[in-house]
Amino acid sequence: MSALVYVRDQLGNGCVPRFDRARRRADPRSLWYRRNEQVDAAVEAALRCTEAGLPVTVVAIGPERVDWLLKHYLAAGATAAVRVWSPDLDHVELDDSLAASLMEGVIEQLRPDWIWLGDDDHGAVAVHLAELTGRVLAISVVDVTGRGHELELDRRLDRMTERVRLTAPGIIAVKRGAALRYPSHRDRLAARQQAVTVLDAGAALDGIVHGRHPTVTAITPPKPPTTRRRELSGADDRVAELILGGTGGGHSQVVEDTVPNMARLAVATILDRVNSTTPTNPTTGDSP
Amino acid sequence: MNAGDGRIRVLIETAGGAITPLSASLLHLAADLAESRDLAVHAVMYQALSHPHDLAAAAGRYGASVVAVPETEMDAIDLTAALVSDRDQDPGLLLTSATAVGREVAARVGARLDLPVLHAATAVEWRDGRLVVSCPALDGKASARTVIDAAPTLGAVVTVAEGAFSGVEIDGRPPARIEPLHRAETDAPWCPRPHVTGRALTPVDELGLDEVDVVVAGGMGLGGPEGFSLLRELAELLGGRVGASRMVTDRGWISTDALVGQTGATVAPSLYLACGISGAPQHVIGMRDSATVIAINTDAHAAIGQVADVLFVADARKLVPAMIELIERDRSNLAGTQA
Repeated sequence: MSALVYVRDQLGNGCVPRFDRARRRADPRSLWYRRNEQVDAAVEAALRCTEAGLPVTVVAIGPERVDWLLKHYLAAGATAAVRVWSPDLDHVELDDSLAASLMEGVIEQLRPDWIWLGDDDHGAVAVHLAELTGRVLAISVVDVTGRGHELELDRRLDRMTERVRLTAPGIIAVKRGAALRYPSHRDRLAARQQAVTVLDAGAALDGIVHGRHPTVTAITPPKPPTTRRRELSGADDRVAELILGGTGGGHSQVVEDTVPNMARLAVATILDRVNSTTPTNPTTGDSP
Repeated sequence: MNAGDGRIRVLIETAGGAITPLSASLLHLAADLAESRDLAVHAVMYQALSHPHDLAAAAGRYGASVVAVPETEMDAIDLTAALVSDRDQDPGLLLTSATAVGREVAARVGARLDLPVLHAATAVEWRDGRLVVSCPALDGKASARTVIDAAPTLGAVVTVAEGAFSGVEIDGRPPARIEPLHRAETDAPWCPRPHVTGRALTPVDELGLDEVDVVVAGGMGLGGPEGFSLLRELAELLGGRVGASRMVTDRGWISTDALVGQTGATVAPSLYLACGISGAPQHVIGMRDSATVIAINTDAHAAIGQVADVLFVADARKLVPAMIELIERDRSNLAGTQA
């Protein structure tokens, strides 16, 4: 029984990219990275579900820069690390389908029983991999029990939790789970000495056709929040105005009054919003 | 794509027999895109319905001309097979919501038909005859604009995140025509399915902050950890969860699980109640897509007012208990009436 975890890092919380609009990319010198919570949860789940002594390989796609991440997971308990890279990747956009194609090459070599990924909502590498490899897939996984070739998983659908049983070989994308174990100082030192195997992505890239896929034409900083402020005069009929005209209209309404009056206005507005969106059981149509 | 023979397919989801707000916003977006290009909007369901005519009427009001409904519920693999079964037809544009099913179907259809898949779009529009889609890039710190050429055919899959668009019903539009969505022979017989052993509604306290409809969040204006007891009480009454700003989690008033903002959860609930939160950009970035924002702050000019629909100028420590009392009274009156 063996496991492979596809890992990636993400931009740091306080990182503010500088944009090079002419080259349609962020200046690499302005970027710094941190671990991704979902990937951490996937690594931890893989370590827990693999019998002691059996291999858990972490695989990243990227330049030498990503070795810090692989070494961290080695320190946490992964048994081997692989980095897939080619300088040609510097000039193409690493989208989900390309990442999955590159991972497929690694999977063919290592033939793991389980493939684990972090499910951070926007990524679809797991689904592409399932399509490419024909393995059984579970995404949005929030809990994993069992060990070995058969696992029980809880996957989160829209306000529903679905329990599924998977038999290896399979692909599991973890949305939420236990925090990654904290590596000891000794393990960190040992991981520093461990080698990262570098696989050349060049051959795989040659076989991937991008002809139909669109290209990113612009990259820009996100827009600042829209101003929705509007002063409200007059004290009467505010409930109706707040409910009917205030919310979602593109302006903020400022209310100053006595606490009882404001409580009445706030509750009326809140209950109107809440009652209009009462969640229902998707299976039965019942309210919880 | 020639005028009149193209289509935009929209994967829609229902809750309690009604189209979800996110699916309604997808239909409305599709209708907007279709109008200027003389395209048809086809809604596609994967859940079976006992009253499809109600759904068809609603889908029609949002702009769909056809709604395809299966006889029995389909999973992502069935649905993919059904969507790719007519390969001889132009694939057109497929819009799905960024839910678990929507994301899986989008990626499977994209892989099967070799179409570009763009995730969590924040803007979709025509420009110079080409489809322009804006999506988050660089882990949400940038927006990337992608152009898809519409000639000779338009083929793309786009998922849309909650809160990015709004759905508007137009009265007077005819109901959508109901068509059966046939279970197609999957063209990927190698595709195994997980064995489903159970399914249950998730209790609110097990949902993540990004999954609940109501978030009651607190900041420094609560004065201390005891203020969060009030917020928990209010959140429980409203069926929501408690959130917090960075300043208060740093002080240990509440655990970091509740953190909303750049370093915590990004949420887009139906209602976000910000109590004693100043509205620092690092917090706002995590809640600005909420459908309705109600703020309580002693400062009438607090930055949270820039994103709030309503700002109550008050001390949250006084206003929240009064609100709890009113809601409890309202609930007990309702219970008394029903008894």
